[in-house]
Amino acid sequence: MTDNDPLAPRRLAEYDVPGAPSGFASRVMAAIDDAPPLRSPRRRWPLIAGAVAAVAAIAIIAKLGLGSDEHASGARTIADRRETVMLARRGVAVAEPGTALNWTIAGDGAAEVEQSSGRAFYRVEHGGPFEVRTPLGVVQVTGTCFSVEVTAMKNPINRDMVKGASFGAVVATAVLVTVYEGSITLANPSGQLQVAPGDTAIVRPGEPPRRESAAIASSRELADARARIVTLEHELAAARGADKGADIQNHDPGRYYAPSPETLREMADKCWIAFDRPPFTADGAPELVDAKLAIAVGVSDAERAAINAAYKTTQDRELEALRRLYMELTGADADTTAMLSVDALEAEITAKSSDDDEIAARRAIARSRAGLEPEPTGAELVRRSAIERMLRLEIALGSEAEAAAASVVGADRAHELRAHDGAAGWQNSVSDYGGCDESYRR
Amino acid sequence: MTASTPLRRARELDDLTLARAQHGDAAAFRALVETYQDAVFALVWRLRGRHAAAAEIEDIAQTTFLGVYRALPRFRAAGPAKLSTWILTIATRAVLKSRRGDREIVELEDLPQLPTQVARIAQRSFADALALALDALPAAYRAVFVLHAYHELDHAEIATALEIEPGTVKSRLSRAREHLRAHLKEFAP
Repeated sequence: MTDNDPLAPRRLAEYDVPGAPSGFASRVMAAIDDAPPLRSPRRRWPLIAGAVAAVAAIAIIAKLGLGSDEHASGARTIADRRETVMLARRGVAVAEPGTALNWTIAGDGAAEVEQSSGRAFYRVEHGGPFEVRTPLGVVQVTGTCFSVEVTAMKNPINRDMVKGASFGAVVATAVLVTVYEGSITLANPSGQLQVAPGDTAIVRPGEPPRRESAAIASSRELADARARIVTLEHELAAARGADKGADIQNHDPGRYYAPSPETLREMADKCWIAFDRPPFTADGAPELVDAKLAIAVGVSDAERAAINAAYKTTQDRELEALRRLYMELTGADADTTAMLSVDALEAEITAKSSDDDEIAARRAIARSRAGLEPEPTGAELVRRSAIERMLRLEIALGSEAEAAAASVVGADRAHELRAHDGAAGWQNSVSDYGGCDESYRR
Repeated sequence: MTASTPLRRARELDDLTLARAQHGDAAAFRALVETYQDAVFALVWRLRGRHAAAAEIEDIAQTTFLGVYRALPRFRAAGPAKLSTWILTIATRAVLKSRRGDREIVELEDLPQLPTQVARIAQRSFADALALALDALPAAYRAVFVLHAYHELDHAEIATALEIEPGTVKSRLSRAREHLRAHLKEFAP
């Protein structure tokens, strides 16, 4: 394409059109005032690679008695995979491998965390002073989301050095603090710096904290953080109801795709459901098996394409069922429904279902999965609530995906694709929630 | 007011504001609207054509943002789609839905000869001729071209937006270009 080409960008730009008229955003906001309120993201948050973290978090919460006024303390060194660490009632830290944390929560809520190495992302609740002490400085916060990364730390933290003049001699090349919400103060004996959302601060040995270039907080990192914030909020919510569910999180390796009878009975007692979530999308072709998984399991390109095509047929059928459910529940027309993503459809169905219906749905599903009551027949199912039918559809999708794969590569290899290398299920994406008490939400 | 960014992607909303908007923060959602409104208007104008009434364009744009509002909690910031692409997808579908009669795919060979106004307008301005040539394209071809040429969506993104195969995007884009070049040849020195 040359500049003489009538379709060259310079020429195309000559066809200018009006932008948004004045006051348009206000008119949109006014229209929204008449619309139903937004729901928070899915209560059944897909915990990608997070099942283990959730188990650990809830176990720790139960042990520490989240929400009590008791003094609490703990220590944790993260070995080989990301873990969620509950800091009693003051917050959550998502710690990467190699992170060492020690924490003390006083009876009045004052929290002091020592992070001597590694990288952790914190979500802090209001409720008193909260400090993260690193080898090179102290992070003081009041209620925020931020991450702390200690690089090249070789020695454990020396509290005297943090407070004293020899602070800069500690063997750590830098501490990076990135703030996502709220604000923090990063301080050391050489100075202090207020850090705002979107900013990253760095402190090096013997130097005052200074603001780092925005490039550190890359859009990718911010996007990752945003997802973590939401996940952590869900985990905190789960923690508050942990008395209802702590004992349900067992260690059945097939919990999400082939739960044992014992697991199913436990879940039935707690109106609990857990299942894996293969890709489910209204936009384009779902990729059930990506190239990396195909290579790992020894699936050829042709087989992979055939599996994904077979799965598309399956998921499209379920998508149509989901859309019909949505239209039935909301009265929306087909064109409007076709515009909505799967997540939007699911969220709306959930939003328009009562808590009682949702609990009843979980109870019925958990009991039938455990063999405590028969599976509903087709005729019975159409009389069940929309939320129950949606959940049954979601739960069934994992096995339907496996069947689609099996039609191409056989049952054994299909199962290997689903649970390869210890995965919790398709693409390691799962939902795991429940409770028979309507006050318990996750 | 004119669209200030006709040939490049809208800037993206920062992730924190997006997260707040997803949690129902009205100020954050307003910021989202203000960030993407010009891109949406530019898209809608070019898809509907300059003959459309301003009120109709605003209705479609408003429908778009109401759709965004409803679906926003489910948008995955860490997913493959940029927020701008996702919003433009909703806008494109809103336009196509608004002119249901145009949704059937008309093959270019089946089109009547372009109106002779193109030649006449050629004596006035390239922009007018381009607008008319675009208007004469079937909606499905025009959407592919506008999303690619004016909003820089790639083939895969357009395929997702229009729920068609990437190969179809490529062929429609190619044929739309052929069509436009043929009818704008007076402007190629």
